[in-house]
Amino acid sequence: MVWNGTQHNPAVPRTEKGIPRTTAGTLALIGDLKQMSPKWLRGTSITGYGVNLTVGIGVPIPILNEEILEHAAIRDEEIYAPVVDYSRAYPNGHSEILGEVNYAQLKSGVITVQGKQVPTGSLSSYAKAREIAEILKDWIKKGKFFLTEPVQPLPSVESGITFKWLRERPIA
Amino acid sequence: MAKRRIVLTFPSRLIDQPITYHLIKDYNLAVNILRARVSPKEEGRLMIELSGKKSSLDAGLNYLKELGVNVQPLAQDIRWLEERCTHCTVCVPICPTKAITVDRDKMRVSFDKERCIACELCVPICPYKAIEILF
Repeated sequence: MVWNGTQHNPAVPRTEKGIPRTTAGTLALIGDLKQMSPKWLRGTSITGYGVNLTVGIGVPIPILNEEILEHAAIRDEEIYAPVVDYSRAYPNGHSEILGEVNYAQLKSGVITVQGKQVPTGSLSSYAKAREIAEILKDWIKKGKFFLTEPVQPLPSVESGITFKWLRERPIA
Repeated sequence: MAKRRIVLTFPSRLIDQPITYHLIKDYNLAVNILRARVSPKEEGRLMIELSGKKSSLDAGLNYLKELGVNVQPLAQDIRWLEERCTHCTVCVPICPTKAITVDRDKMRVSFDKERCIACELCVPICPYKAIEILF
C-alpha cells in the first residue's frame, strides 16, 4: 500500500459513526505481478463500461485501541450505498439519487426503490473476500506476515480533497 | 411424466419438414421451443423441452434419430466455468428462471442446468466470461 488511489475522496457525507455514505476511500497498491495468481487478479470486461482490472486484496487492520476496533467492527446494516440511475441521471452528470440502501438489504437479494421491489446483485465477491481474509488470518497466526511502519497517513476528511465533475465541453 | 431438454440439429434435407408437428401429434409430447435457428448453411438448430410419458418420450427420440436428426442434451451446450467464476453475483438478478442462485449465507453462486433456458442474458454481463453457451 503506497498511496491513496486516484479516486480517493474522503470528504463525502458520512454517518454519525463516520462511515462514508458513498464511495470514498481508495488505495494505490504496488506488487510483483509475477508472484500473483489469477485467483485474485483478473482482466475483466464490464458491458457498457469497458475493460477493468479486478483485484482482490487482503488488508490487515491492527486493533491498537478502542477507536480502531469501533471502526473495524461495522455491520452490514451500518454501511449505506446510494441508488443511482445509470440510465438517465449518471450519464447526464446529474448527481441526484433514487434513495439510500444498506448492505444488509442489498445482500438479501431484493431492495425497495420508490415502492418497487428490485432484485440485487453484487460486483465484488464476498466469497472471495472471506477466502482472502482466512488466508491472511492463517499467515498472521503462523507468524508469516508482518506489518511495516506507515510512512504517512492516508488523506482523511480534514485533507480538503474534493472531486470535480468532468463536464463535457461542447465543440463550438 | 418425463421431461428432457435437448438440442436438435437438422441436416439441410430436413429443414422444410414439420418434425415438431409429428412429435406432438404422433407421439403425444408437449413441445416447448426455447430457441430455433436456421444457419446460412441451411442447417437447423432447435432447442426444445419435451415432456410426456416416459415411453412416448423414448419413442419420440427414436423417431428423431431414425430421421437423421442429431439429438444432444441441452446441458452439453451450456457451461458454467466455475474456475472463472468469482461468485460476484451480478448474474443472479438477471436470470429469469432462477437457474443461477446464490447461497445467501456463504454468498456463493450455483448454476442449475435443468432450469436454464439458454436465454443468454447472463453471458454479456458476466465480467469473467464464466458462462458459455454454444448454440
